[in-house]
Amino acid sequence: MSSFPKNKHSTKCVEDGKCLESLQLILDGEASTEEEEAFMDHLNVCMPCYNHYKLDRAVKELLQTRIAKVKMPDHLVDNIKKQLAYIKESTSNS
Amino acid sequence: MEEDKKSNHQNPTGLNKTEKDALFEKEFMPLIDSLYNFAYRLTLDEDDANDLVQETYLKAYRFFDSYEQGTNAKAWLFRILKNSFINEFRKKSKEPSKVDYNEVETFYNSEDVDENITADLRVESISDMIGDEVANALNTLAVDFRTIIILCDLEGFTYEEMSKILDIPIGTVRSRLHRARNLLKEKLKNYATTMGYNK
Repeated sequence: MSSFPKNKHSTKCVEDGKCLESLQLILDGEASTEEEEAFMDHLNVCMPCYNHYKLDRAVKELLQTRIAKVKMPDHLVDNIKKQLAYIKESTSNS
Repeated sequence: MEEDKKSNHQNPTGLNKTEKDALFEKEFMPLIDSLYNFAYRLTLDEDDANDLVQETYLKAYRFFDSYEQGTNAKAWLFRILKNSFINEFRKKSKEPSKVDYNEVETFYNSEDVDENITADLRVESISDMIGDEVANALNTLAVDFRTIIILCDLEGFTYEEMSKILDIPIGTVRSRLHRARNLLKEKLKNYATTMGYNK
């Protein structure tokens, strides 16, 4: 950051919670370009929002990278395929 | 083959059976691990997860005609699975009574909670956490909150897609997500403190 945030030692943003909405939209890729740019500009001058955004990004990345995806066991996949095959067979005769 | 497509009026998707089966195979079968993962995170039980996935695929095949080609196969299947979960497993789960979502709506506008949680939890503490701790934090959330985090952060659905999967307005998607994340952060904060990360 090039300039010191004005409210460096405060934990509250002056923007009345509008930022919370923007933050989440941006975090989830749902914000417009304008909204995102405005928010990023805001982060340059608002320490609470900057910290909050950093934290939320970290939590999201944590979820995306640290939780192992469970794979369906092969024998269970095969079982489902068999059941579907049976249904496909029986409907082809109608 | 082309004539079949044009003259087939019984099958709304415009395909004959061979083409239909091929399409089902191509669009839906690759999603089985994703579905199983979701089912497992919902039920926290391998057998229940298997039953759910099985039921989902059978239903998907039965109702394949109502699936619009070129639309979101994954969201469609997830919606079926979620509805099956509600019908079959919600009854027997030990979940606490339904969350008051009016409370959630107003909560969304309260910044105090956000400040406190955010102030107490450090990014450094989070980056030290291992997979099990994160998974535990997620698993102990009430199922509706757990679900929305899974759909958004683990599966990458958009708000619009989540709205369709869960049958709730987009506004509710946003507020529930916000609340779920605050709850998750609280749990991560507790873990961090217990593990001595948060010093």
